Amino acid sequence: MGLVNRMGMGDKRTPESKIVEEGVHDFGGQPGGNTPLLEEHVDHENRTLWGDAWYRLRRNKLAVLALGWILIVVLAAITADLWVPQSFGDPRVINSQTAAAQRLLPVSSQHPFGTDDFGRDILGRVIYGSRVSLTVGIVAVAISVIIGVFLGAISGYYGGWTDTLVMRITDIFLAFPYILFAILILAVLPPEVRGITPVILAIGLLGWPTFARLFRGSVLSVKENDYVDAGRALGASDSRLMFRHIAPNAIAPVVVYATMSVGGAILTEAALSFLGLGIQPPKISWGQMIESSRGYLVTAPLLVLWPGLAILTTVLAFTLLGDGVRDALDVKMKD
Amino acid sequence: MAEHLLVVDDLKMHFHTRDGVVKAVDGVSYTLDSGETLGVVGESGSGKSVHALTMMGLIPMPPGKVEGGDVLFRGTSLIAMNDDDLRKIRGNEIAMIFQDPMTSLNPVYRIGRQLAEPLIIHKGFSKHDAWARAVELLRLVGIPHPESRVRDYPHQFSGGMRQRVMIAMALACDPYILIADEPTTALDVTIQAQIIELMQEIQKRTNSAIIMITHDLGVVADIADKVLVMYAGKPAEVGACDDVFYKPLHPYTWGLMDSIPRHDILDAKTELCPIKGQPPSLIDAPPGCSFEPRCPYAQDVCREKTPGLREISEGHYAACHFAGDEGFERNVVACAGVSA
Amino acid sequence: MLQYITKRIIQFIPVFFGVTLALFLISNFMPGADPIQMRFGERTPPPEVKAQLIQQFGLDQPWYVQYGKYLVALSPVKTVDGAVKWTGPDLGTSIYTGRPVMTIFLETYPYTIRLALVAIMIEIIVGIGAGVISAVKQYSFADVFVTLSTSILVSLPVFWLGLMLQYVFGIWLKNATGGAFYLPISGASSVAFPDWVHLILPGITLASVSTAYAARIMRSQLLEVNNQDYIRTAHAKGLSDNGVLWHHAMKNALIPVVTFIGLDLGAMFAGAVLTETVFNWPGVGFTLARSIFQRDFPVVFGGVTVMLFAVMIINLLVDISYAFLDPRIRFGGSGE
Repeated sequence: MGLVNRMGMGDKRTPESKIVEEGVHDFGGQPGGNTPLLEEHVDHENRTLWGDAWYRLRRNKLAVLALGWILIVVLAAITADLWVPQSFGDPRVINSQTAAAQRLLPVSSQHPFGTDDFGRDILGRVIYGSRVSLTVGIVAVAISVIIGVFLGAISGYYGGWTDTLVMRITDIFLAFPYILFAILILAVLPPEVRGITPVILAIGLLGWPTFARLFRGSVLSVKENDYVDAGRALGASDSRLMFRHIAPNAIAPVVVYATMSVGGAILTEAALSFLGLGIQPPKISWGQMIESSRGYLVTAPLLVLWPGLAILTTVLAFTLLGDGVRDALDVKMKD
Repeated sequence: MAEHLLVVDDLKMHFHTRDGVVKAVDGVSYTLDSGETLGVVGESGSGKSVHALTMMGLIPMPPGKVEGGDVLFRGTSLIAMNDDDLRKIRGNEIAMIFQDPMTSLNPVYRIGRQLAEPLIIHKGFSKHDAWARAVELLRLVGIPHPESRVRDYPHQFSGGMRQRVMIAMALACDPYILIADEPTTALDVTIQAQIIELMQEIQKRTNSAIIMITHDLGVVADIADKVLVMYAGKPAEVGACDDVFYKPLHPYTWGLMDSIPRHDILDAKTELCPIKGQPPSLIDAPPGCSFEPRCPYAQDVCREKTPGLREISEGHYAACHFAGDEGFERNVVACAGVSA
Repeated sequence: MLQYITKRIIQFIPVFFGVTLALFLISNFMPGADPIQMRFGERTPPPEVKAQLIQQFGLDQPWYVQYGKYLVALSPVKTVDGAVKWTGPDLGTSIYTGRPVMTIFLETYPYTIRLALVAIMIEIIVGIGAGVISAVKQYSFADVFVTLSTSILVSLPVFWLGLMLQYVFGIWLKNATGGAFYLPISGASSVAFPDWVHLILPGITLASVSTAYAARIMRSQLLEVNNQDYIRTAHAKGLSDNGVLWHHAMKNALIPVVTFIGLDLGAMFAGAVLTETVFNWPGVGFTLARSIFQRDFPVVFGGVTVMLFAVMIINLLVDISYAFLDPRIRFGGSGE
């Protein structure tokens, strides 16, 4: 009875159960027969699972909006070197000649978000900060997914003591607030070693248990299906069964949770940098920008506002995209 | 003419969805009297359940909307009735049993509480009296040791036992009409027979009317006095049970008969012959007979004109252009042609 | 039930050893500043004082000896002068302040518990309330509002929300009303305000994300339960809409919400590092974060140990309440 860890404790990005839409389905349809009342996808029933999901995702306005915003942020992060320094002055360096004169300027056409306490353009800094957030979000989640899927797969497929061992390890991880663990790991590092790599490793290495559980659950339920038995009866090897038959059908919940987790990883990076454990100046990260401008909350609250809005909108975009992907893939996220 | 217990007159329930209007029930009519059993048969999505839920006011509106017709229960319209009055009838004068006994009982409440509920709401029983009556009801439906089982939770009962509990719950207020929506579908065959027997026994005792909704023609043949065959939201054939079974008029009914194993005809040559094709989409149905695409006897007129329900012989109606015509009969060759 | 509780406690043992051992290993094999040095800040301590402190805290011994000593001290029953006695658990002494770790946490825990209870109350009232309204009036303006605002809340950096609340209610409001009305933004007590006013902003901050999750879970659970067959049965029995909602739907839909809130309470008892840091709230999270920076390892291990037990006890209580709410678990095996 794994009641306790049904929701990752410290990691608050709890998957929610899919909202069941009310509708005529439930009254018109009879179990055991297909419902002719609402044959929505008659015209494209030949699509694959992913093709169909992509079709449905495109019809979800919020998800498309979220995807658009993510693409804009990614594009800005990639192309920053080409236009940001030219437009607003290089926000990564302190220009000692102009710093005093440019200090804490209000919002203007030249500095759309104003300038910070060292006379650097805040919009430019926010754009450069997105590089860290996106990198941490994507790479850390990728690490979690790889470890989690691997361990979840062997755990679900082989069962027995392998399963017990892996699940007990996830218990240990999930029994304790995620952020505290990350703080502990990063805090014992000397300040000169702190930076983006330890942050990515800390978030990535702590995030895998949820993926392991999710994938294990999917594998267990998919394993019960007849076509897996059929494959086994035909003499398919373990790895072939795993990669060709089970994994493609068990991966959908992982994709959904991974999308949402990118936002979670961005939030964790911001929190760690805010606590002084993550990205160190002069490197720019949104959390670190908030930390370094905390002292100006009374005199220049915009310094705190902008990076926070950047985090909010980007994380929100990943949350909404995750919701959209979940609905598009029709995944019930319960465990 | 004596007043019927229930008169369903050209009832239409349509759902307004983003994809169009779904005509789930489109012109159903019949009458029902005390002690009578009506069997409603049809495939999934034929509107047989929706029509019952419509009478009970259990269809959420929107998206549902009664587009026409009426249901008179003891002379009063259920369609025009306001929610509060209808609620006094639900579970009290008309009760309903659902398909899946595994999920139709609330898992977090004791059986006794769920049985007592309608008595407390409708009959003003005290909690204590209602629980006492719950024990009697359980005994009535044949549950052993009702005194102790009344304190159990649904998950402690087997499927067949749970359906007995559902029946007990429906009977709590001595309803005039018992609507059973596929009450045996989710059960084992041996249990199915027991449940049907129980319902017949109770009907004898209480003289209530039963509407038995099912896709199992065997059940209908066992229990029904009247049969309504539904297809794509419309009635295909209505009549006395014997008429419909021994002198079926509609090609769809013929198809249904051919698609079930018959134990009364032990002819090795009679093979099972499923109706080919799928029921049509109920959205924006084209004019013409809705069974036409699957009908082996279809003619041009079937594509152009929607057939209405006609009385072919006394009390026996069918919605087919050719029903009752000389020489229009069930054709074994047509079946063979399909399976070939 | 007793058997179940025993099982949970036995399951806790590997978790306890796993976490504490991992911490010991990390702190011993990671390079970093010298904890003794931290106590002296910029000054250089005399070598004999330093040597004496190193010996006093056993820092010259290998990690497994330190770990063994930590375990022995933790045991509430020890042999004193050859006799077995109840001494209570000992968490050691802070390197930085020289005070017993147990005392430090006995002082800070009440603050954390107070803040957690306020946050949980907000979570229960606002979270469940918003979730129910949202589900009952699905697709209404209220529903769209709740859905959107919860999406935003779960995407907010908690510390940033805290800072924004500090600005709006502590700084902007003070200026706008000429100092007449504002809320305190730092600490747990002050001359200007009664203590409970100090709880408002940190309470809201700590509750924000969880409240949003509670609302979302409540909403989706209620919508899912509303599609269950037994809800249709309840309607068919002639219950009113309110009767169905409060008697039949809520009890089922609340089970996962109660689980979530319970586990969240456990997480809050482990200290709200970010909220407590932003508001200088003297709770365990704040203390622990500070001790980590001071490399005050006895306080860190002591804090982690206390938290582990706190989380375990709360989780156990959640499980018991879960069984209380759901008879399928209370009575074990089902007929299916």
